[in-house]
Amino acid sequence: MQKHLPWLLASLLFISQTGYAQPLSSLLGKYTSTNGVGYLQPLNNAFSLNFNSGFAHSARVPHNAFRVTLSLETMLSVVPEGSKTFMATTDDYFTPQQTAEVPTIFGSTQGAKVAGDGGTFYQFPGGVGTSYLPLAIPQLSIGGVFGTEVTTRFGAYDAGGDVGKFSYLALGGRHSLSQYMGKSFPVDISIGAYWQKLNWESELQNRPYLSFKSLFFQALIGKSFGVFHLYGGPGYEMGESTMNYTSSSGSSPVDISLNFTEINLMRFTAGMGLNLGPLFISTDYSLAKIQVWHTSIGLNIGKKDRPTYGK
Amino acid sequence: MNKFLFLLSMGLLLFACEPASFRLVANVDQDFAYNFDGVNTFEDEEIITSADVQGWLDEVNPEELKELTIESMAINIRQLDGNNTETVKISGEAEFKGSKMLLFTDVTANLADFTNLTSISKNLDPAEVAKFTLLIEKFIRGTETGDLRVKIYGNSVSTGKNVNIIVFLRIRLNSVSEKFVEVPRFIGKP
Repeated sequence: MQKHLPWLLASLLFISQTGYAQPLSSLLGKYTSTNGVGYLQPLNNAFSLNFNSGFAHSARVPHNAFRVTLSLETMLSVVPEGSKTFMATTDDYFTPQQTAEVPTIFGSTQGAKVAGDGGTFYQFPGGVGTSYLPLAIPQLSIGGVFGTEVTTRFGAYDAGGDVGKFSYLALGGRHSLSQYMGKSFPVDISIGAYWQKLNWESELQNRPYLSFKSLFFQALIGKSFGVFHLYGGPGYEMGESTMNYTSSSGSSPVDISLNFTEINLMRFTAGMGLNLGPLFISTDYSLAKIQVWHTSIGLNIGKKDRPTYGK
Repeated sequence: MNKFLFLLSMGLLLFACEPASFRLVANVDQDFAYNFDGVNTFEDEEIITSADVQGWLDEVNPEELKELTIESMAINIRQLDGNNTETVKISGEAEFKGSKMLLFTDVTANLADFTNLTSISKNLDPAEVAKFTLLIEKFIRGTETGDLRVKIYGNSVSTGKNVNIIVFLRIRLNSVSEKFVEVPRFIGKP
C-alpha cells in the first residue's frame, strides 16, 4: 500500500487524527490509473479554490498609510453533490469492461461493485463522506505605499523520513486603481495578482508527492461605511498540480503519477468586513464551480487609513 | 457567562468527533508460474499454505475484512526451446483436503497470441470460483488451515507434439474491509 500519499491527503484535509491517515491510504489502494484522476479531481478543485482565497479583505489599498497586516485566513469549500461521484471504468483484466457511477474522495463511504464474467467482481472504494474541505493559513501583508500592498504566505516543515518535507510560498500584490480617479471617486477599486507554489517531497522518493502551482488574478470594487465595508468582484485562477505515489497493492510496486488542471477558473466574490481599531474581521463568499466561504481575522499595525470619498 | 458557555458548547459540538466507517478496497495480485516440459500432456501444481494466503493480505486486519472477491484471472504463456506445439488446451483447478474446485476447463490457447497476460475470466466457473474465494477468505480469517494445491494441466491440440512452455497465472483479489475511525462530525457520511 502506498505509504506517503495518506500523510499528504490527511494534511490537505486538515485533519490530524493519527488514525485517519491509514484509511486514506487504503482508499487509494485501488486506483492506479485514470480512475485515480476522477477520484481525486474534486479534492484538487477544492484545494485550489481554498488556496486562492483570502488574499484580500477589502477593495481598498491605502494610498499613503503604511501598514503591516497579520491575519489568519480560514477557508471552507462546500463540495457540490455533482462532485461526489464520477464515472469510473473497470480496468486491467476485468471483463467485460464496464462503466459505473462511483464515489469520489468526497463521496459516500460505501463504495460500489460491479459483477463481471465467471463470478468475478470489481470493487470500487468509497470516499471520506464529506461536503466540506477546510483550510487555515497565516498571511502577512505590507503596504499602503502609493496604493500598493504586497502579500505573502509561507511555511516549511521537514518531518523527515517517510513524511518528508513540506514547503509553501505565496507572493503577490494589489494596486489601487481608484486612487487615480480623484478623491471624490465614490468607491475603491483594486486589482491583484498572486502566485503560489506548494511542494511536498521526501528523499525517499525521487518525485514530489505533491506539486501545486497557481496564479490568481482578482479585481475588487468596494465601499466603506465607517468601520464597516463591502467588497466584491471577479477572479480568475489558473494552475496545475501533480500527485505522485507508489502503489504496492499489486505483486510489484507501480509508480503512479496523477496530473490535474484547475477547473474553477472564474469566480465571483462578495464580502464584508469590520475594522475595530487595529483589529479587523472580514468574511466573503466565492462562487465558482465549487463554493468557498472565507473568513479572516487579523491585526493592522501602522498608520490609520480613512477613505476620502464622500467628504 | 451564559453566552460564553453557549459558544463553547457550540464549538465543542462542531469539532467533536464521532466514529465513522470507511470502506477500503485493495488489489491483491498473486502470480504463479508453471513450467512444462513433456509430450502431448502437461501438469504441474503449486502448493499454497494458509499462512501464505494470510501473507497476501498482511495489511488487512482479518477482523475488519468485510468481503473478498476475485476481480480477474489471467494467463500468459511463454514458449521455451524445443516447443513445437502451436495450440494447447489448459485447465485449472484448486484442491483442498480432497475437495476439487474446477476453476476453468479446456481454455484453448493459441501460443502465438500470447505476448501479455490475457483474461480468462470468461472461462471461469462462477460456482467453483465462489467456493475458491470462500476458502481463501477462511484462510485469511484463520477459520481454516492447511495446504491448497493450485494445479494447471492440459494437452496439446495436435498429438505427438512437444510441450515446452511456461504458463503464468495471475489471480487478482479485491479485499474490502470496513474500518471505524473517529473523525470530525462533517466526515464519514455514508
